[in-house]
Amino acid sequence: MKGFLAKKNFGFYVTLGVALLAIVTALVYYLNYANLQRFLSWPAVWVLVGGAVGALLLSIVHLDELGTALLAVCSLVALLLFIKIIYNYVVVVLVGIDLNTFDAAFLSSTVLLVLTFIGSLVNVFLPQKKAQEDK
Amino acid sequence: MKTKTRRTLQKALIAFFAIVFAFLLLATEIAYENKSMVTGFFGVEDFIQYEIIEEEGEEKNTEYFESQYNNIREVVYGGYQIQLEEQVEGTVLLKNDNNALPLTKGSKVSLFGNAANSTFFGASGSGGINTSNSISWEQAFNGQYYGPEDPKAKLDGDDYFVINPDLFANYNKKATGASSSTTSVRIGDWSWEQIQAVNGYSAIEEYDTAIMIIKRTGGEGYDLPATSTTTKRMYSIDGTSTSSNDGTNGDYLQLSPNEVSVLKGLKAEKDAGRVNKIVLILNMASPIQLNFLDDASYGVDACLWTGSVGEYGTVAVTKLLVGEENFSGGASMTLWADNLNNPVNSNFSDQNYYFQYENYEDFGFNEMTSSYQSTFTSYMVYQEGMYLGYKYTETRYEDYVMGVQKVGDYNYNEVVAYPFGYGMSYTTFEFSNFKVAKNGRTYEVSVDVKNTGNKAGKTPVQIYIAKPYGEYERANQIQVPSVQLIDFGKSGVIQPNDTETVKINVDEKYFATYDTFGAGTYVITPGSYQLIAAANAHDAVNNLLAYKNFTPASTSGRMDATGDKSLVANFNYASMDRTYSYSTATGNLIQNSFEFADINTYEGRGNNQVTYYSRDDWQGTVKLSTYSSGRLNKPYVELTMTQEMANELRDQMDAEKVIQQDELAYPTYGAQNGLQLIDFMHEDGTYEDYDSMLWDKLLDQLTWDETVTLLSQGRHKTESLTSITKPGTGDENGPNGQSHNYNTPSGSGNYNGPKNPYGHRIGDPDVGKGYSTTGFSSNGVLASTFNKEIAEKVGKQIGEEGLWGGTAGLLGTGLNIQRTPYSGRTAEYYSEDAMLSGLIAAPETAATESMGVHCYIKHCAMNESETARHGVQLWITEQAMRENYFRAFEIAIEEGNAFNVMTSFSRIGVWAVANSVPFAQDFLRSECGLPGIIETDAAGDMTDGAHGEAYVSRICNVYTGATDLNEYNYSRDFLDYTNGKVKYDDFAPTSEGGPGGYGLLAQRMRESAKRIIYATLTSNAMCGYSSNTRIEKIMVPWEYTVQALNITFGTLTGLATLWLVADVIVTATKKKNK
Repeated sequence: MKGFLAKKNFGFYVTLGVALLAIVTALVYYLNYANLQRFLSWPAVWVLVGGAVGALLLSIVHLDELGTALLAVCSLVALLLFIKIIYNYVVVVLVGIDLNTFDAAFLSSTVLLVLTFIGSLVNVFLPQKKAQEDK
Repeated sequence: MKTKTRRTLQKALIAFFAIVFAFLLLATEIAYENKSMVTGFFGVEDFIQYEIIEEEGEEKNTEYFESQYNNIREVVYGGYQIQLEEQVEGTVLLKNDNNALPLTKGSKVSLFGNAANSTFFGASGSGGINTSNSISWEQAFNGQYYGPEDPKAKLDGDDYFVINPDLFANYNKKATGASSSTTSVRIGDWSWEQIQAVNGYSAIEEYDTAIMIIKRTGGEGYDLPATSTTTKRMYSIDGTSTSSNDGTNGDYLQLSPNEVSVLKGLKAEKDAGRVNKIVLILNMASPIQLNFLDDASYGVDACLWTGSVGEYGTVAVTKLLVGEENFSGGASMTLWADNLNNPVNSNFSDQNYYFQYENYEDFGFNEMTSSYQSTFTSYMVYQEGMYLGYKYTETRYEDYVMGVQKVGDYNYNEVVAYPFGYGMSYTTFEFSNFKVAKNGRTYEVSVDVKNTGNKAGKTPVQIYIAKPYGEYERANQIQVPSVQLIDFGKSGVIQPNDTETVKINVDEKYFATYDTFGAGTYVITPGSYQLIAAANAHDAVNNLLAYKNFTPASTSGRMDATGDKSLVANFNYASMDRTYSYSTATGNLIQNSFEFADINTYEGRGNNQVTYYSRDDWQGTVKLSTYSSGRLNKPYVELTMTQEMANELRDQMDAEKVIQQDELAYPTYGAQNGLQLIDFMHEDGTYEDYDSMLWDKLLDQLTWDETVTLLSQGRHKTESLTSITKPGTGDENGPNGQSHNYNTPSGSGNYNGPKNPYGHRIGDPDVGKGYSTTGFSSNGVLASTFNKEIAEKVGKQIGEEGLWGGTAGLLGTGLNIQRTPYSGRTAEYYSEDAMLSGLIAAPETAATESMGVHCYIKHCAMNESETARHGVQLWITEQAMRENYFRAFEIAIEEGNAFNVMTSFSRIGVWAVANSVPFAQDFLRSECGLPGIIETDAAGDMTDGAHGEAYVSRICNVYTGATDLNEYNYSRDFLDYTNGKVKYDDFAPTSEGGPGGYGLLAQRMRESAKRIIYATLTSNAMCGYSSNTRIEKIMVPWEYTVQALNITFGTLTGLATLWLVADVIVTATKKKNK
């Protein structure tokens, strides 16, 4: 284990953090909309979890860069799926007849999904291994 | 470039292009889901109309509706004049002590109140109106008006009043003004102390009169709050208080503490001789409680109710204030002295209250606290039954006067400030020589109206009916209000000392009562009936009491005025008359259809039992709200959910349960029969009979795809169909008039914009120059005119504006009942009384229809509250439902030719109205003879669950015949989000790639499509279309742009990825070679 971590650069720890964030995001999103399934995209939940687990597994087998790319793609796909399923709600709030403020469920889900995506995107550019790859 | 730098650049490029590409794909998907809306946004039509000119033959006239106007300016100016007339006759003078009014033209005034600089023109949501050319109170007082030459350029006339300028600048313009929304309301006036501190206050003694204008707003999506304090899970949504509520005890419909301080401050100034008169203007559709008006500590000399005044109503009110016009309005609602004494409020979900079954969680339902719309868990009981508004106040008064047992303590003056129908004038009138002659099924009523004052004026003549309440009624649970408005008329302008005979034909049909438990239909029960002429509901009861030989003296003063028994005519029915058991519109038998609406007769009621109000026990049945310890307590009816309820709530929207396979044949699709829709309009202007076999040939030309699209695209429009050259229609809000500008086709408007504007067809030079349709007053003002001719003028104008502006459908008028003033949409509705609502709406809708604009009267029915409007379960007796609520719609359809209806969001019992077959087929079709479309309200709210859980299936409701069109723009064949989770294509014939076996659904889809097409045929959408016209679907410019962007970024993403991959391979190869 010590040897494994010794080869990892700080990007690896960011990957761990973003993967954890992705799982938390999936969980919060699920809990927010468990009672309102119309706005719950199961693919988004599974894509987030799958991206996080996949990134970690790829890191273990030293395919770190592929893992970060997978996590970034999955978090982007999850964000898009969320937008697809929630946009009607946003329209209703913007029209302002029945609702005129965004609720906590929407805000927390949105913030977490965006943070996960940004984190995973930035992570793609961070060094994952200590060994120099290219000269 | 170093490898590392290059790799970073490659990643960045891939990331950038891929992200943009991904969002573009999503945007494309969403854009296509909402294609017609996007198309409208970009200002182009998705169907292009072109005309094939025949080589031989004469040019045809394709204008099928004749306008009374010659150009857009005439239309706009016509609207201005009619709206003034509406407001003049609909404004109600409530109080005028010592002839405080009229004011002298040019007199000096100081303005107070939250509306002085913030006129309440119209409500929000579908009650919203155009205000781009509106005239504010200040402008009206300064003499501004419009002329015919350019009716959007304000003209300056002589000042009606000289306004205290410093006070206006430093107080009126700076006060917050009222505001309201789904979660907060503010009255927003300043306190007297603040006003006293401003520059200009000290000058008020130079300005004789203080005019205080106060407003309360309202609108779609929220009711008005009666309190700011609620208790979680008892009856609140979430236990939170309303934010920013500055009303007294949180009650929006009382004077706020600041308003009290202003009125009392003015009274002190009046006592000190610095102010001569205090005039109060109630600029609101939902009136506040008025117990302060006769309170000497307030000192109000004159008070008038204006409703929301529409675009120009301020001008009309100004003319009334100075006596250029005379008041002749009668209140279309009861003006309550104290809202706590209005028993309906106990079972009304105002902005903060929300009644839910205590045990809904036992059945797996959830409260949607965030959305304020729990579509399965909320309910309301219309416990008052027949005793709504004046039917409660006057009936209990009569029983109190007569000393009926169990009437309880009842002080009329603490309940009612001004009765239904009440209104003063600058003159006085006397009714006499009341005659009634029965002619067939009509009672011909005449009344001599004498002007006994010294100013010319008009007055309403209201006719009430008193029905028997005897053993038969008691035995069969029929409730009979003391008096009920049955019809009315209005005099012309009568000069002082002149007399006019007002004649009114009363339809015997409305003598009938709905007898749920006896005959199971409408009957005229045996007994004595009285027709009563009166100036208002309270006078009617006093006349009736006088007829029964009661006097103030004989009742120890309980009777508060001497009635006039000469204004009462008696008729006897010796035996049960069943004439009206059959519809006068269709001849079909009317019978009980709504046992499921009354919890006491609903099969799945469990242990629930409701005690409705009864004349036999006022004391025991009427429960009033109370305010104690800082909390409003509503003694609402508590119900529990049963398993049967839960099952029906779920099953009605479950397509897999509702839609069964069958062996019926599918209709023919895509036939080439060579027919066009215009062929069904005859040379003489009549239409091919709806039941003609020829329709089948036309409809066989529709493709399956067209049928699905037609039924899936109904948001403020109906879809175009190329196979039969059916033009698309623009169907727009709303109840208070059209709401668009005179523009070219599409490109503007609420959702889709005008489709086929006459102004554009004739090349009017003012098209696209900002001329707009008329914003009319709140419908309560129109009802308060008690003038059917004005209603007809308003309706005709709305029709003209539809023709000129390009709409073939009006999402209106609003025929729900003002069950309580706390209803958010009071401005859209006419009255607390269904007869007044219907009898005013009928000439209005008939006139609108005459211009080829089909009315979708709404929200049919039982949409009396907003806070929990989505899926709220309403429990009510069938008698009350029919007589107090359905009747307004029935009259508008049967007498007003209203062609279409829009259903409500609510439920009758557990059945969503949009899913209710008895409502659609028994009531609307069989009884009323509705010919056109039954459309849902914004269907996405119900089928798509934007506000909570989906509770209506758009496919089930077409399958059962409950609804023809879901008012929403689904993508071509959107998923039903209800339990079925299906699309139309899942039921398609095998020839269209479907499973087949659902012929009945296909037949029902065909029938709904026919209704929609028939409505288009008979509308102004056909103008400009001849047998030579064809329409063809095209790809619109934004689609090309989107596809080009997709291809571009998809390619760039691919190239960037290719570069990275190639580079990695090349680098690795080089490394290996080294």
